[in-house]
Amino acid sequence: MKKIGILITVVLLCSCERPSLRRIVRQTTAMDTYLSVTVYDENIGTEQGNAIIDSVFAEVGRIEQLMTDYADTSDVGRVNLAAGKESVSVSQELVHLLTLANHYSASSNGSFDVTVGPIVRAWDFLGVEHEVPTRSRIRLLRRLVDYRNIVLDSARVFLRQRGMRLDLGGIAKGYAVDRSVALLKRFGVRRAIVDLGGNLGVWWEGTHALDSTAAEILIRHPRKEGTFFGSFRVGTAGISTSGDYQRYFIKDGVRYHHIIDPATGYPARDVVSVTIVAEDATAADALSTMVFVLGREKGMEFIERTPGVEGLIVWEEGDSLAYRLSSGLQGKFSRSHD
Amino acid sequence: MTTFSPVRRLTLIAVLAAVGIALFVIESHIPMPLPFLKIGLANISSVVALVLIGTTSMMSVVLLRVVVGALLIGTFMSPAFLLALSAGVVSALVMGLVRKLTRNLFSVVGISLVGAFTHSIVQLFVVRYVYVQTTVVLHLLPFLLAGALVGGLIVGAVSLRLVRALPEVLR
Amino acid sequence: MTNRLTTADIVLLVVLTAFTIGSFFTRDLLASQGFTVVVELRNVAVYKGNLNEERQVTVRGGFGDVRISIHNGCVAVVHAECPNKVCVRTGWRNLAGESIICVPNRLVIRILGDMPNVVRGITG
Repeated sequence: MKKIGILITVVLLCSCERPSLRRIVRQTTAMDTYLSVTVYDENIGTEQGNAIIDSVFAEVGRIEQLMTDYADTSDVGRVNLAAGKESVSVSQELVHLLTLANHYSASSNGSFDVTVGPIVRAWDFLGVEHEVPTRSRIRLLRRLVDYRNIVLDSARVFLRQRGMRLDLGGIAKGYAVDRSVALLKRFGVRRAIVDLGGNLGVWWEGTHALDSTAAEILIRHPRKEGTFFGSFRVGTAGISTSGDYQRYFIKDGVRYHHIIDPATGYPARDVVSVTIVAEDATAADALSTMVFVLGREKGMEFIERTPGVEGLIVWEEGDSLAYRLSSGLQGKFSRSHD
Repeated sequence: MTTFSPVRRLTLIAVLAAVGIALFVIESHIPMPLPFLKIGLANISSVVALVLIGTTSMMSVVLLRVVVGALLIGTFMSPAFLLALSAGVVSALVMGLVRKLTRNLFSVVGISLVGAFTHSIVQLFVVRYVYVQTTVVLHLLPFLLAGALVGGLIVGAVSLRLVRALPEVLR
Repeated sequence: MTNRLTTADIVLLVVLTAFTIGSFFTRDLLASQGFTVVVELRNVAVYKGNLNEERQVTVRGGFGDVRISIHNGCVAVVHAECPNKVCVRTGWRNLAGESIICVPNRLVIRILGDMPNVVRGITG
């Protein structure tokens, strides 16, 4: 009878055991948003996975130190401080990213422009008190916005006019995601998702963008918090969304959001959100901002003529939302039920 | 197996069915953490019936117990009833078969374990294939088997005592 | 008369115990934190959503409304009017492959995992 008792105890103990998880997820905050790294690799143990994710966090922190315009000691801060005065020696990384940014600026006639800094500052979307800057102030600041006034050489940056400011908000997060993915690859991780405030880097060994169904990407609903607008599946790719609902304030019944059209100095009005799927997260980040500013017609044209880039544009039509998919997303996007 | 006169046999069927029904009603009030998990106390009457009066009579006991029990707790013709009926009948048949084939190899403890496991497995498969066509219920199997192990042992232990004592009483 | 414990009983007990313990391991192999909740009524999916979204879902079963709560990455039936309330007693579930079943309402709540190919990211 004693033996039977022991057997019963063993059986009951077994039923209490909690099974272990097969993925490693960690979250932190970085670059004014959340950062989440998920490793899906059964060859990576918990301890090893945590160590790898720690170094990813450190890498994103390093990039933040480099690219923030809120500290005068960062590379970007020093460039801004010396605007109109002198050329500043910076890391090659920043020169590389600015070269890329200027390329996007040139191919969109300035709809994407990292020198939009002075105007973004004036709007102060991260601040507590929200005020709409006066027309005359914006007109004045608009003169400072021109990507052609960035002078780059191999390791130096010079802003031609006094008062100019770089703001890498439309590209730096994507870049940080790409660096994180590169680091994960170097550690031998075969599958992972890096999510920096909705800028996604999917790394899935042996897959490529929309040819694969490895990961399901959900797009947040621009008007109904907590729900999703739709989804599609991808393999290794960068995905980013720019939306008027991400950082905004409402004053006198008007929504003022953080995606500023460099040409007007005011929030771009034509669309509600743009999601871009590209080869990497840097491109997705910059292009989602750019296409948002370009609007639904020119934006979609741009997506269609750029190889390796697909996208979804959502806009308001009366009280409801309408959307358009680029040719490569057609048949792959599924709209959620509202 | 002792041989009983037809009247005695009938009386025994009635008494055992009544005991089974009582145990069934009592057990329906015992809360369980998982669906389909049961001790199976009512099975005591089936096991004792099998040993005392044979497979055919045991089937009568099981059918009476399932039908009257369901009528009493108000689940007659509900899914719970159909589950109890199918699992009850199949496990009774398997117990009878095992007893017939192995003769005196197992005591009532072994028989009751066989019955309990059959009961759990049949129940889960009826749920899986008749009511909800999904494989997910099979994840309950380990818990149900653990329950069957414990329940089968309890039922077996009680039945063992009864079959030792009863022939004396009945004589 | 087989009115005492036999060797065969013990052998059977050991075999069945091993079988039971073994079945727990197959379950562990399958289990991981779930990702999607699917609610099926009479074999028709009536709700599908993320397990990490806070949600209250009400469906109409054969025995009145069934209230399902999705909270903290777990799902439970919080209210049902079926006779034995097995579904409510099942409590909170969170593992891929787990389910909550209400036979009278013919309701199944399934938790699906994200391995090997349902991995998600959220953008926007």
